[in-house]
Amino acid sequence: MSCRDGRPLSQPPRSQPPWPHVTSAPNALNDRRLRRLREVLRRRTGRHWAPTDALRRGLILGIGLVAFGALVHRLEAVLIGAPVLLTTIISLVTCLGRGSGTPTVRALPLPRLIEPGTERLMIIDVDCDPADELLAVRLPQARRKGPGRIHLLPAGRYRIRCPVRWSEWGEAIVMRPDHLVASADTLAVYGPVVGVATRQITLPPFDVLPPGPLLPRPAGLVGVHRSRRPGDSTELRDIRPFAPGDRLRRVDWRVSLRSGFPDAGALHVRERHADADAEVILALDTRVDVGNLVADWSRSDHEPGLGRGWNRGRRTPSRGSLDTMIRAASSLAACYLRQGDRVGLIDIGRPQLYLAPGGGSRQLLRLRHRLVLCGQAAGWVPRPVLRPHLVPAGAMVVVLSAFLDDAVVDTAVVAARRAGLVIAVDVLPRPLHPDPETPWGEAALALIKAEHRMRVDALSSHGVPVLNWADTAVSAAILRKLALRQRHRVARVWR
Amino acid sequence: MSVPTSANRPRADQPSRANQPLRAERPPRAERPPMADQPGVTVVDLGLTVPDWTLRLLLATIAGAICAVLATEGMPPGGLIILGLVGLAVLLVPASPAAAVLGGGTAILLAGYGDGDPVRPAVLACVVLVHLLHVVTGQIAIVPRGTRIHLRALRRPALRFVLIQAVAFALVGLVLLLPRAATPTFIEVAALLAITALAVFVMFLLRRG
Repeated sequence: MSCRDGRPLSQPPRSQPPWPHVTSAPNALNDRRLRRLREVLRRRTGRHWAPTDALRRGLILGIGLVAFGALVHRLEAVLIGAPVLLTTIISLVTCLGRGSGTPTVRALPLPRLIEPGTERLMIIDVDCDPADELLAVRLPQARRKGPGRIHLLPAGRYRIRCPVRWSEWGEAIVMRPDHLVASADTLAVYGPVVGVATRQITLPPFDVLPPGPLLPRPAGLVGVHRSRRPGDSTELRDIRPFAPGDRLRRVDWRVSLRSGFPDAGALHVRERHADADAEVILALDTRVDVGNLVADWSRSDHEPGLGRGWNRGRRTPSRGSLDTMIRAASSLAACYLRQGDRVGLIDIGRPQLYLAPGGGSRQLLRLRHRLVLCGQAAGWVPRPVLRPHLVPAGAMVVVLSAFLDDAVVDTAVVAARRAGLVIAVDVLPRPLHPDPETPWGEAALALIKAEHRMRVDALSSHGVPVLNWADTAVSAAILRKLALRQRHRVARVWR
Repeated sequence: MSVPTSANRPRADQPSRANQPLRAERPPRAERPPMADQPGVTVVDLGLTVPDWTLRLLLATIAGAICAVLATEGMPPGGLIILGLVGLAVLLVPASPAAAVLGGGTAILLAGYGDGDPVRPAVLACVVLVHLLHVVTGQIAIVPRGTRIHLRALRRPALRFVLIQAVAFALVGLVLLLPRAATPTFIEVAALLAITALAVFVMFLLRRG
């Protein structure tokens, strides 16, 4: 067999100039320019050996003291300068005798997505010349986020293993092996070289929750929820006289005979309920991320999506509302997906991050990944958007918000009027602390609380149950209560 | 084969799978255990480390010891204060000429304030201290604050330091053995020529490297 150009497959392809129309003279010129450009870039990135102050100091101090001692006939200067001169000469000869290879520090790739709380071994390959002496490299820390701190290690050819544990969700640089290699006595250094950053997405964690209230959707005849419509499940719905279109296998012969069927009575059939799945839309209000210190609400140095809120390092280290919201959404999604339901996601601050409803464990992965994106893109927009065509008919909508403005309340109420069941999850941190630096702190906090209470009451008055997501256990209990209440409501409708 | 009935069918209020974990996601390819170690490649686990301020503390101790040695030699307080400030500059900006000033100033002051005996305890102490100052300053200059220093990284510099000091003290012993008579002029000229040749050789090496 042969290739198109006639050469057999075993032979390598013929080398062709990349630009055959360019003559050789401009090629040489381009090569020279390219080499010069590479040299300049190499020097600017630190990927070259450069002398240090230690070399100048060793030479000046050593030679200078020995010469000074010889000139003024003082042996003290010679004795003090001799070790410095000797170590500098030896180290310089060692440094100049090293191979021509350049030191490399390379991190082995890691998976892009990781689960929180997992511990991994990060591998970093170090390849330095035996003549090199010290290696300063940035290594990840076991339990801290970020690229880590610098470690001073002996240079050589080995592999470093660092155990790293991730606990906070979000996307972050987990490793960036910045490095600097020093020769003997640090007379010359290679670097500092900025390493290739490894970014990873830690998915938000989820807690096991009881099943919440759901609205069975009769469109799909699969799922675990009993629909109000007749179908093919095993649960008895009704026994009625036979009608055209009924299947014979549904005939209840016992009831039919008891009614005197062959002679006078009618043929009766057993009607069963349909099984249906449910669709849940998680509507996230990522426009606001607040902690429990009201004084910090106007600060602008928070890190959205990193799960810390605004009050990092302050007197009450609590999670911010965005972090609570992401964790709650993840737990709710896992809860409903475990039942076989279909869960979708809408960021009412950024509708472009919409995720269509779907089921299964892959959907959970997709959804948690999208939650990380929502956390990263979080920011204030004046008007939340919950487009009607993004909410399937009959889907339950869970609105997660801190409810600090009226627009999100209007959105939830409109969704409740349009769709069936809407649940509001309040993620405002509690207890809130007033600003201690102003005499109006208490009054401002009271006003915020009153407005928030008014919004929650407005939601409740429009038939939107509000769930305060303070604790997973408490939330589970309230979810269970809401589910019972919803079943009773459905039963009342049937009756 | 079990037939699903209303009794065993999972429902919204009594989910049979509620407490079961979701199916474990298959780990990506790179997530599997790290590749087998290549032959000849040593695998290193991060072991005992010390913070970088221990080196800075050592440097401060060296600078203080140099000042103390000079104080025993009868240095005036003004000179000691100046040297102390230079030592502080070394501590704050290790990659600066301050270390050279401190080491050179020490040697010159010892030579100037000496009582005639070149091999006395203060000089021997400064032979060690100035060399140590040179080595430690070089190491501190390449590590930023917050660095963790692995003790095995200092093994080779420590061995070389001990070796050089052994050679230096052998030189001191040679000095003690030699007669204290005046050095002939031609030996002094030869020594200066040798130093000049050494400087030229070093410059040649640097230009070549």
